[in-house]
Amino acid sequence: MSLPLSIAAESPLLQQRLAKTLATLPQSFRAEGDAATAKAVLIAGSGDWATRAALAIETGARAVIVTDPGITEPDAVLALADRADEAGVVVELAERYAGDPTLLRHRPDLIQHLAATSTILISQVGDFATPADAALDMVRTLRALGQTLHVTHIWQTTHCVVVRGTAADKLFEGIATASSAGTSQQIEALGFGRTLRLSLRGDGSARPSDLRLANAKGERRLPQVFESVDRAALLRTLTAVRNGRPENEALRQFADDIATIRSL
Amino acid sequence: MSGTKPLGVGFAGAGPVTQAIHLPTLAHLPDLFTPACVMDVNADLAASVAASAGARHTNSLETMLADPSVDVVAICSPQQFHADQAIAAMRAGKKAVLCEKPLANTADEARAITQASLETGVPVIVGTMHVFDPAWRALQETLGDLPTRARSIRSSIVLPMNDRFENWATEVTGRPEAAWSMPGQMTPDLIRQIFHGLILGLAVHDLPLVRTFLPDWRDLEIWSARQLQPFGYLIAGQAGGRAVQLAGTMHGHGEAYWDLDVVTDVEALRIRFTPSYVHGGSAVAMLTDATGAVRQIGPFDRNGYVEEWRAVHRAVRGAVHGDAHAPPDLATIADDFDFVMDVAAKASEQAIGELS
Repeated sequence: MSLPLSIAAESPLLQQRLAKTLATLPQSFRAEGDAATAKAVLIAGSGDWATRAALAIETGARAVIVTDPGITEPDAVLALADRADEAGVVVELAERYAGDPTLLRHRPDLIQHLAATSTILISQVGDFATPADAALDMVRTLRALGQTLHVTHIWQTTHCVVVRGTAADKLFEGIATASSAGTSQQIEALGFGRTLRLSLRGDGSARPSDLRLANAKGERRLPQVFESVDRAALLRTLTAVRNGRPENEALRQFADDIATIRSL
Repeated sequence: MSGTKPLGVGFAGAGPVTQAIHLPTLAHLPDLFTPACVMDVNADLAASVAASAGARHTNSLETMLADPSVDVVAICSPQQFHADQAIAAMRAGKKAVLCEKPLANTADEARAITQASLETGVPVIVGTMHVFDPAWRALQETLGDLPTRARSIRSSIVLPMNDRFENWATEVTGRPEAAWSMPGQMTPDLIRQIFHGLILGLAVHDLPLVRTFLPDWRDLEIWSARQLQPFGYLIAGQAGGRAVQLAGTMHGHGEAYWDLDVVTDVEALRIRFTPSYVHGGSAVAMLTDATGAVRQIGPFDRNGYVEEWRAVHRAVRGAVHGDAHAPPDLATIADDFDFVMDVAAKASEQAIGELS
């Protein structure tokens, strides 16, 4: 049996969030009071998170988990990816929507079904730090669904952001509205013979998202996954650390996505 | 029982809308209405539909309008005939006109209809069934100032082809051939025609509801307008700082998704409508607030078709002042149509602009 991985949060604010997740993984992780001595560090994805993650690597972390990563300097994210590769450190992103465990569990199926659709719509509701962060959330979900997005337009009102583009041969349009009436992201992928309706919760709980496929045989719901984004991210981190083969390509994609949003 | 004789209904047009929507709906309201006459330029079709409804038939509008047993005229013909037929019915002294959506094909025609209604005193009810949906009506009574606080409004209509639900609503006689052809090279005129057809044919169902949440609808700005294949639209814009997204498409499988979403700073409203044609009950409205509490309105066992005909009856028999279930007045009908035409015009100009 492997020893548990010691883990700490970078700030007291994140400590409670980490404690809730660790309670579900008592054999795999051990809470550490001091981030400087823990092998894994949980970082909040606000502000200059990439710089803070790089600093954690410099102080000895073998794994960094970034919660709800938002807009930051893309160059800093690329530098983090380079540094992590160089040091053999795992950097895992715990993304509110793109990291949804139900979505990730069914990702291969969803990508296959998406190939038969021609339009993808996203409607997102919830508080967001900036319009760019909301746009990034939508772009990241498409990235998680294997769609290489070409964003061409962003429009804003005081409380909304609308993103338009294409994903290969598909049309894409997303609308995010700042509101305290819940947190959710609805994805509709429309095709003549197939419709996908994915309702991602984004509230951090283990309540499963609702993924539905409709075709000529009718509508069916994909099996549920009662797991939180954070727990799934910690488990991926553990696997990567134990395999000793960190893969930080996701960070480079994240930097690309930020740069795309920033360019508009 | 209403205690009065049912009103006789004459149908201008005997196609699927008459057969699959209105005749089955009137069967829900035998005390209020009876089919009296079916008119269609296709005399055989008129005769066949009339026979099954127990009504007379004709291929002449004038003959139908001269029929004293016809109290109310339902305009169920192609939209380019709506204005002439509706105005003729009002001038003929009928008691009310139910005009299928869209009210008309142009703004001038719509103005002529409302002017004729004003001059003759004959009420016009537009068959936008969601306006009359019991859940929407009940919701409106509880919304308070929510419409003035909307931040985004999103209409999403994703439906199977009509024949699926027509066949559940009735046994359709003489269904017109679908005239599908892929357009050739896109030209500005062709794009205008396509968006005109899409907005007046599909988006029109919910645009009056969308307008409810857009106090500054006359300032509508369209950011993006794209066609969806094989048939549909995807439009984004804003009015008065509120983002609007309109999506509509028809597909080849059987599932119907018909939603209107409105988000404020502290509430999220979703209204999920039942498909056209079938009597599948009302919409369901779900209003979620910032505490996570959800208030649900509906489903009710009746749909907007039944309620729009009840509105016709109230309009004929005399609505009580302040009646929450009264049909929209002429000014509202005119504004609704102006909004529809504005969306179609601005969306097509945006799409044309993207050609170059």
